[in-house]
Amino acid sequence: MLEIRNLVKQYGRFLAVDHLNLQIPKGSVYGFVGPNGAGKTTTMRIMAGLLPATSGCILLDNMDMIQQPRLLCSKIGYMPDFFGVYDNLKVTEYMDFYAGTYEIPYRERGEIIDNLLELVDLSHKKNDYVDVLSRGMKQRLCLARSLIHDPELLILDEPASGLDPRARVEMKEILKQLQTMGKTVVISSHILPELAEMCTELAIINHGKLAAQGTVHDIMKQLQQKRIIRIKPLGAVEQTVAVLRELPAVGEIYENIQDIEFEFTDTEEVLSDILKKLIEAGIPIISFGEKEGNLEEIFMQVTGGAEI
Amino acid sequence: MMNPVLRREAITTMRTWKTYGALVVFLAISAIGAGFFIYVSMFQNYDLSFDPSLMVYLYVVLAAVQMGLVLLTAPAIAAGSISGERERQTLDLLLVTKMRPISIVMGKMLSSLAYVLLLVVSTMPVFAIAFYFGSISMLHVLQLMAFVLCSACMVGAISVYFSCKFKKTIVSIVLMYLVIGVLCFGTLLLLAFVYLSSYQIFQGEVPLLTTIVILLPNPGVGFFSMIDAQLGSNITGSLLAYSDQTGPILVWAAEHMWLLNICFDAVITVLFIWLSARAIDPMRESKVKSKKVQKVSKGK
Ligand SMILES: Nc1ncnc2c1ncn2[C@@H]1O[C@H](COP(=O)(O)OP(=O)(O)O)[C@@H](O)[C@H]1O
Ligand SMILES: [Mg+2]
Repeated sequence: MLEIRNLVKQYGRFLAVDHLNLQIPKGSVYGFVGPNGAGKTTTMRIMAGLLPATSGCILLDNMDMIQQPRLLCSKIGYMPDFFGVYDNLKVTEYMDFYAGTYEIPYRERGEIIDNLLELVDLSHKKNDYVDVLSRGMKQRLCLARSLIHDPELLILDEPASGLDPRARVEMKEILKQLQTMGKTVVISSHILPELAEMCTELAIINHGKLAAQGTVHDIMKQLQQKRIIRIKPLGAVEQTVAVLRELPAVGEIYENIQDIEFEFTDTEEVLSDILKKLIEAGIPIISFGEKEGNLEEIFMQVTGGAEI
Repeated sequence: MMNPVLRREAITTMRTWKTYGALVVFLAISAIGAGFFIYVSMFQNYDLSFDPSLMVYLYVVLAAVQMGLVLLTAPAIAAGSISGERERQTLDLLLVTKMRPISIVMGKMLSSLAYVLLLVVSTMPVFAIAFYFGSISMLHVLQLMAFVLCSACMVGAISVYFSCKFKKTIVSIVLMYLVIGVLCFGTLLLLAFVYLSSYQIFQGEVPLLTTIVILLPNPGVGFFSMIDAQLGSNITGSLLAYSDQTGPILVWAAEHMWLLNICFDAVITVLFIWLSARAIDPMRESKVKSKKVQKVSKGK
């Protein structure tokens, strides 16, 4: 488990990370969300051992990373937000180089590299030069590179930024696979909905401070934010409203022409019960789900969108 | 296991045309130097004949050309070693690995030196001309190469340090040329100044020790002294050790300026490699801090 305690980072008089406290459970995919300049990169660089903290500590399996940076670099894989590759180097040579920096014996490298390239779907580019790969491929190659020493913890700083939708989907697939491999992944983004889909837990940070922490559901609850659920019945609008009115978990109901929206604050189980009740009542339902863009509203609210 | 940085540099260096371009230029300048010398020496004789005994001086010319070329190219090679990684945004990827900053710096140093060695060795065929006509032994050439490499180490180590400190490679190169200028000519100017004002400073002649100390860091003086020793002409010794009262150690020192210069190179190399490793260590600040904290808590 990774624990961040009272982490502070000061650039001159500017507080980039302000007494940050986080607990990241083993095996979780932990999202780090915040607007640009929130201090995500700074925190991740401190976690990776690239930046000294002003004060506070980071504990990985109860070992202080600042006291034993050498020991921990073999447990952590880091992928920065911006990175480059070498010219005149082929994909396998690139991987072999980083295998060397982790002192992996020559004879073990071939298999490790093949497996990783397979994982990130770059096997067919094995003998290409790294500097001519597309942005998405470089991103995936860098991910493979950060996995070369089989770290327990992966720190990925905005891995999806600058990628087209297809590349994003591919990146998500890889992350899913990493999770099944039992790795703890910390991933940052400035887009909440993007992370909400793939993370088991989230932390929203703003101005270097923790604004909210927990599962998406927890965070909403923490913020007392009403979730808006949108139902699209086939015709029977009034009948649907009548059923909904009876249910205690349903808050304000808004009737639109095509659909119905209602406020909801209870658990996922209760939500699924609502759908069951509607269907039992014989209402034909085309769609039932959270109103899109809602997460973004939360994000704006938490990060003080009003200030902007 | 071979230093991974050195290994990678070896692969990528051999794949760029720049390497071959540099080799060609290096070889061409040496060959032109040799050709020019032979041409000029032929006009020394009325019958435009070729005097093999002059070939000793061909060796001197070639050695000087090589030394000069190395002093000029080593900064250009080494000054981009760390700042190049930084510009390419690959330095962080290197620093998060298991490699210690010192091995990263060593890898960079060794690859720069390997490059210089490649250039130096490539001129061997030209040296063979001087060789062919005798009077120069293989041992002399090897000694020369060793000396040139020691100077390259010193220049390389300082360049790598600049490379750690300055974002722009060009800044490091220019600074390094300045440093070389100071070492080669600044020391001579200083010596001239000391000699001119010796009556104000020493109330008499300049002590030999002072002269030796001032000239010690000068790679040019070291070079001259070594060639001098190789040819047995003992010019340096007679230039420096003129007073009868000087002790035997100082006289020995005056006759072995090149050895002292190599020692100077070694010290500077080690020092700047260490400084470079410190400069790129991202956690140094916190190490210093935690040591301080430990001290404070021990004090209590
Ligand atoms: N080296 C630095 N010197 C001074 N300020 C910095 C430095 N690096 C980052 N900052 C500041 O710290 C804040 C947090 O930056 P960063 O961690 O990169 O944010 P994020 O990754 O969340 O967008 C920003 O306001 C940024 O301007
Ligand atoms: Mg960032």
